[in-house]
Amino acid sequence: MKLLLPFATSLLRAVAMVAAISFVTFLLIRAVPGDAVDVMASQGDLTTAQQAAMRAELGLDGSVVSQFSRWVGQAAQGDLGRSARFGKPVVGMVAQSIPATLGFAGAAFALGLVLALLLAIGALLAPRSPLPALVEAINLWSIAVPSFVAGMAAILVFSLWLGWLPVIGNMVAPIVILGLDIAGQLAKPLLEELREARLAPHVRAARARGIAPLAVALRHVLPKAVPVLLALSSICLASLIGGTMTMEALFGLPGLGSLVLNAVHGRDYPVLQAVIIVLALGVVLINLAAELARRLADPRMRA
Amino acid sequence: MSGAILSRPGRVALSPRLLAGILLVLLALVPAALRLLLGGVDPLEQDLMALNLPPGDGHPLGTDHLGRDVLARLSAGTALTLGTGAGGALLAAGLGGALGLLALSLGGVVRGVAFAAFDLLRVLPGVLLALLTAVALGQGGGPVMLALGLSFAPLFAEVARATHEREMAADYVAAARVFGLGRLAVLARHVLPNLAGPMVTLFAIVLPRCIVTESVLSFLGLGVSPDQPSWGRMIADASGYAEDAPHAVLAPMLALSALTLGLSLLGEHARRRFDPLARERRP
Amino acid sequence: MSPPLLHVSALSIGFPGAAPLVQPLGFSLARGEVLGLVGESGSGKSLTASALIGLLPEGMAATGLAVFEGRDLISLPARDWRRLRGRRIAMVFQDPMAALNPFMTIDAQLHEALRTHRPLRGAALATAGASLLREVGLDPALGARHPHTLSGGQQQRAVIALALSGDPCLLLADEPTTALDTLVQAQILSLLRQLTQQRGLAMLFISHDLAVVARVADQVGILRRGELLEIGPTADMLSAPKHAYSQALVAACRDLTAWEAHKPVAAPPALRVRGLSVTYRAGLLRQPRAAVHDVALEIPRGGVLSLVGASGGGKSSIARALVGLAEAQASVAEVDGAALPLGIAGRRQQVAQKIQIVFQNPNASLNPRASVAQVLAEALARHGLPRPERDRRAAAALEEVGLGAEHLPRRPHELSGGQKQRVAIARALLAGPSLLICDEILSALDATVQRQILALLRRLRQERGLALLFIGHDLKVVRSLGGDVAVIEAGRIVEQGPAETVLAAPRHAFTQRLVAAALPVAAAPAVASPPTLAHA
Repeated sequence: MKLLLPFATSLLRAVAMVAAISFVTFLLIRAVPGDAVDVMASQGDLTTAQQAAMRAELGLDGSVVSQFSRWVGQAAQGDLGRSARFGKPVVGMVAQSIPATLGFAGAAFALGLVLALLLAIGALLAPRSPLPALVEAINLWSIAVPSFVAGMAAILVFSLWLGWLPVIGNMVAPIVILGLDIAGQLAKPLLEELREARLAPHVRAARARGIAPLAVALRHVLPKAVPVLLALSSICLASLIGGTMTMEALFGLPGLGSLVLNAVHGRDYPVLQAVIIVLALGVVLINLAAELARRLADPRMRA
Repeated sequence: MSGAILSRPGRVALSPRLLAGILLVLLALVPAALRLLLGGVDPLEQDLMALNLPPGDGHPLGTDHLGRDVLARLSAGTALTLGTGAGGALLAAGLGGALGLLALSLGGVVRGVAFAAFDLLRVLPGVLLALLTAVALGQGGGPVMLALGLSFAPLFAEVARATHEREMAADYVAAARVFGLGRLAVLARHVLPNLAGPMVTLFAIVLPRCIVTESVLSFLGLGVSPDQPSWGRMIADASGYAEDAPHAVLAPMLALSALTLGLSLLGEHARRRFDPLARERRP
Repeated sequence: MSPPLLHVSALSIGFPGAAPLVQPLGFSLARGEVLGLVGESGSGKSLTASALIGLLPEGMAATGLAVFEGRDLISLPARDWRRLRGRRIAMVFQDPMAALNPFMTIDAQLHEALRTHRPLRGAALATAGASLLREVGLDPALGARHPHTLSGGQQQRAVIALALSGDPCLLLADEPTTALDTLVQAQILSLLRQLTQQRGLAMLFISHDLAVVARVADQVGILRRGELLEIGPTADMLSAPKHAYSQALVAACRDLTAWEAHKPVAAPPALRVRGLSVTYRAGLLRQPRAAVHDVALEIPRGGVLSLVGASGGGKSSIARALVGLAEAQASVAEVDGAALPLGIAGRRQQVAQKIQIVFQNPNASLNPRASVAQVLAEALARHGLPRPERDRRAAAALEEVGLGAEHLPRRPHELSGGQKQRVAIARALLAGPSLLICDEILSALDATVQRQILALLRRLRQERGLALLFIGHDLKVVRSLGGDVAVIEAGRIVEQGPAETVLAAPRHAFTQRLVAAALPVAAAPAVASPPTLAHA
């Protein structure tokens, strides 16, 4: 299949990208003056010999390149080191946090995607209804109102003033807020793409054939917007990750976001490194899936 | 052939969008203007006898949990919020636009490496970049601007690449090359003039996003240092005391939303005004 | 005679409040009859068709009457349109590739359309689809394929099958053969003609090409700038057009003035290449693709060589290679007897500048931001001349192509297509060429403008002794140029010789098909009596 060759290229690029991100992260973290041992040494008495022994144990001795290659070798065996703060294996800490974050971000994205599709198709079919204005409005909302501000407002209004629900630890409010954010980012460019796709000659041809408007929208207009929708979704991924972290921090939810923020504030570099690489891997994998889906969706690329 | 796209004549001088954008931005600048005109208290001065005071005498917007004047902090934070955002957007335009274009015109390996780096930045979410810069360089305006610049640079590079590709494929560029004009001459004559509009438009779109991202980073404790009252920092600081002093959270929230909303409206206006593609899309 | 199926009167189209784009016009059309509307771009012929199927561009409106089967189409509410479109009135489009949904197979699109109009399911649906495909001359097995896997001709047949799916009685055909190769054009024309006769369809056939329209239409109407100048039986229109513009259009269909024969001169040829090959590299992992193999060309000073062949055959690759825009190798490459450097770096040498090129699309070959003066200055940029000298030369070049110095400050959008092409020629002349490559420079121009540009080229050849490498698909033009002709198929020259000999007695099968497809106007089946047009 012709499909496989370009996909193999994408796969190679993805692998190279994860490797590069790992290395850059590694390099930046090692560039910080004062490593985990220094932090410990400043808190308790450690002899130079003890410090050297600890460095060897934590893999902090030798050149950066040799440290990195050792780290890669261990990572390949599923060993991402131990948390400098808690002494627990990093792999376990990260693995525990993944399901919560994945579920939360997935729910928010699904909500945003469905909302965006409904709004955009509705606005396309009913240009005189308030729907186009609504698309415009939630787009502005998502650009101009950061999700933590919306989250703050939700906490103020629902929890403190109305006393409805215990907001901290509750999942509904953050998912809705983040979902609206995603919908705002997707709906407007999607609508613009649909409007442009509707000008395509084959759409005009379908209308000239007497095909019903909804069938024209779904079968003839929407497929043309699929590549753009996939590309937009990949772009949304970055803000989805940022939004998830903010929501986890604001609403006190467990997950990768809380994990990494605590790691930064506690200078827990092995955890920081692992989370960044896991997230980068996730982004690369999702982009790869989007690329494959785009190729599968277009018969001109399949044949 | 026939039935060519016909555009309707006439253009709106002052659209509601433009007007609303200008008004919102001005509204966000009111505290700073007041401070300039009337002078004011030190935004860092703590008054432990006046914690979480509601708006009233002496403190038009009340005080926060450390007894600092909210209005004073709000006005002092204006320049910081705007400056960090604009600095980030400028850096992004410089990194993405200028370096991108340079790499494009040099071509070959340089181009490949530069655009691989932009791809890499695209994959790394902005928050993660900020995590890294905060860890590696410490907290402060500089690292935040660097994080913003790096994470928004790929957008500018993409626009530079798209324009460059479109122009280089045009017959008039082929004609220029047939006359023996080199890459740089083609770049200066044909690519740059067509790039200026999209770049300005993109800057107008990215600026509010940079401001928003800065506030998010401040909120997460990755932004400017705690004693610098950027608006995001103020929201983060006051969020723990929202029950006792909702005004200390609300004031920076409203200011931030007015500023970013206003700037977004102006950005959208610029896009419709200068981006021919966006204009063609709506008859 | 039966009452007309469609009677249009005082139909006017435009944006409300602005000057109309189509001025009040009228015509009638009976079952089994074909009306051709001929006009150049912007004449309003496509808008007329759009109004008759209720799909005018957003914001535009039509006034007047268009009575179809007793109902007025102009005032028809949107809901009634849905029952009419496809079922009573159908449309065939210019670009078949663009008119088909690339995401659906032909069958899927055909079945969707059939289900919309008739209560068909399962096997009956499949049978109806297959019989429609057979009717338009397509193997029903092709229905399982996606549009991009079909040839242009097959695609247009599929579009026609889709148009017939609701069993309409009026067919609007908007430039249905313009995007097709000459070879395919003839087949689609005869299919349309045959369908109108078998099904008793009325057809409104729209084209910029009077020669094409004359081959299918019973009546012809001539449109210019939104005005229907005259309308009448095809034979009358061809033999005795009344309006001056119609006369010019008819004249443009007839034979062109033959150019003077080339007088041999004792000088090295303007161009001599041997063993020219052009390869494109698609990507790092892909095999380089050869577009041109081992081609030999020779054009004497002041001579003419025409390259003809199907699109994608390698004609443009040869042109681009000769001006350094495509990677090429050659065993011999000489201009005026001196070695010609191939490749874009070689364009810096003065000798390479002796070959210049004019491109097909005049809109794309001038930077929309640059003034005419700036466009022309580019040809002189490498000389570093002082400004007054540059302006003087630019004005002189403009004058040579028949434009005044008042055009210097104008921008491309202020010029017509023909004027833009003149500016492109002036720009090429400024570099002092011995050979001018004309890469399909007439294709994007209207018929009457084509004649003017040809006259300009003829004068430049006489006055400057300019040699021409002419790339085109219109054999009528090639015949009038005289000189030599080289026929290209799949990157190789299959036949080469004096134009007169090759076109009169083609030996290679491909040349024979090319010549057969380019039938003269008079072969129109609609014209019963022997034509009064003179043709070679």
